[in-house]
Amino acid sequence: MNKTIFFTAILLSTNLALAEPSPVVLEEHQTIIQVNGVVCSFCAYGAEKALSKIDGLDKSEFGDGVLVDVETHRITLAMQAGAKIPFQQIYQRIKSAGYDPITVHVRSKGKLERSGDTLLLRDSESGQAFLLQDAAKAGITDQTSVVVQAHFDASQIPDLGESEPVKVTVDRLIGDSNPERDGGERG
Amino acid sequence: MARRRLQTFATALLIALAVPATGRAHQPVMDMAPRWQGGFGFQLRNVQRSSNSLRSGDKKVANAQSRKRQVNTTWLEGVYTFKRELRLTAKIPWVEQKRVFNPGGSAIAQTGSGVGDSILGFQLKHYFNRAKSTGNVGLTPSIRLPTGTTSDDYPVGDGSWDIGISASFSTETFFVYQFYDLFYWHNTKGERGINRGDEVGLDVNIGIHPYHDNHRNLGIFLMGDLSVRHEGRGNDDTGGTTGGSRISLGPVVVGYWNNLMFRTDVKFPVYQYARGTQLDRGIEINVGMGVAF
Repeated sequence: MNKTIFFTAILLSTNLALAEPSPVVLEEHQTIIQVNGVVCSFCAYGAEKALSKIDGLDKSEFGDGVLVDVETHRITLAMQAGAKIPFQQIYQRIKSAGYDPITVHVRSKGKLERSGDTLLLRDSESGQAFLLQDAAKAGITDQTSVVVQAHFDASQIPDLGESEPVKVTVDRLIGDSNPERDGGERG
Repeated sequence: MARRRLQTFATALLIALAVPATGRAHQPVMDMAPRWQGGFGFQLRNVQRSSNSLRSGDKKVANAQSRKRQVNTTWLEGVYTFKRELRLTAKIPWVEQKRVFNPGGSAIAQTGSGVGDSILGFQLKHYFNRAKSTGNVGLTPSIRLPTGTTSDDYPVGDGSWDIGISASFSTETFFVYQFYDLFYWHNTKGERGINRGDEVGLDVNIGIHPYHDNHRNLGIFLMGDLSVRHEGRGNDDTGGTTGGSRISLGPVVVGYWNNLMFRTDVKFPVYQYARGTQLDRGIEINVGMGVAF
């Protein structure tokens, strides 16, 4: 009987540890950071406290604009419409809270600017710029404006200049438009 | 925000006043928190233990003179995190104790109360973060100061400066928590002939995290506690021979809500060995709460 309980517990914990992470789905004006170490429930408070002081948070969401999920190890930030995402602040605050940011997931809606092989997305509300990579794989070809979900490695943040665009990999094309092609916005 | 902070303080204060608390002197003041630079925390713990059972070696012996002992210690503990790798901890006990003892052959009642011997620790910690776990390795040199009086019939301090070291390891996934702490105290000779032997011990906590609410940062841990102690033979002119070994097991329940943490555990002795003839340790009941900022 005791052995059964013991092995069941081991199996359960193993299954939980090996479970595939759920896909990241961003709502409008949300940013999600995948953070190593955010499994410590009591000290999740420290991460939340540190991040709740960053600029541009929508404090009407999650009580203070920050939601720490210790099960998926993700921190969701609700940003105000039009606020630039302060990546440097986010990175520094997570580090000083004692954790390691790994991946940042963003959602942006804006116009595409093409220059040679590079494709720049400028957010229509905040003006923040993102250099899109693997855009064609996500179905971005001739659109003039898009809504995308993308991610980037948090390790590039410390070297990021003030107004330098962030290089992101497009995960999902949420909506697009090309007035010349279809005369209106979709999605 | 101010209202929320006030509510947190009021709750902490209410609980601090309402619960009797406890703890183990060598263990870290809060393990995983506050890990943030400039973070600090307080903890109030109460340990209650009593015994009326005499033991000689590993055998129970007749307690003809009805010797007994009751000790109630409340620890006020604080921690300050200079940076992730370096913390300062302070532990100040308030002791209320009484015993029936037979120094000259006839049983007499003795009491002692007041501030006991305080402990300062300098924790060196290395935290590690992985995709699905976090943890730390700690090394804590400590010093026990003779802040307790030795003037009571049943002294709450021993008048000696003692040094200790502890090595700890803990790791946590979303579902499982583990904590191991191995420590050693070198007890030097104190006043009134109190000269306890050195102590070595191991504490293990292993448990699960069955409930957590992300939105309220509220949850509980259920754990098992193993405590192993060995104290070398010593002497106390006020109380007789000291030293022995014991192993205790028991359940632990930890709850948390934002920056508040509550812990209760009970230690049931499963093995005891006494040098000479002594009252055994008895069952320990610990209740505590902490708050981190």
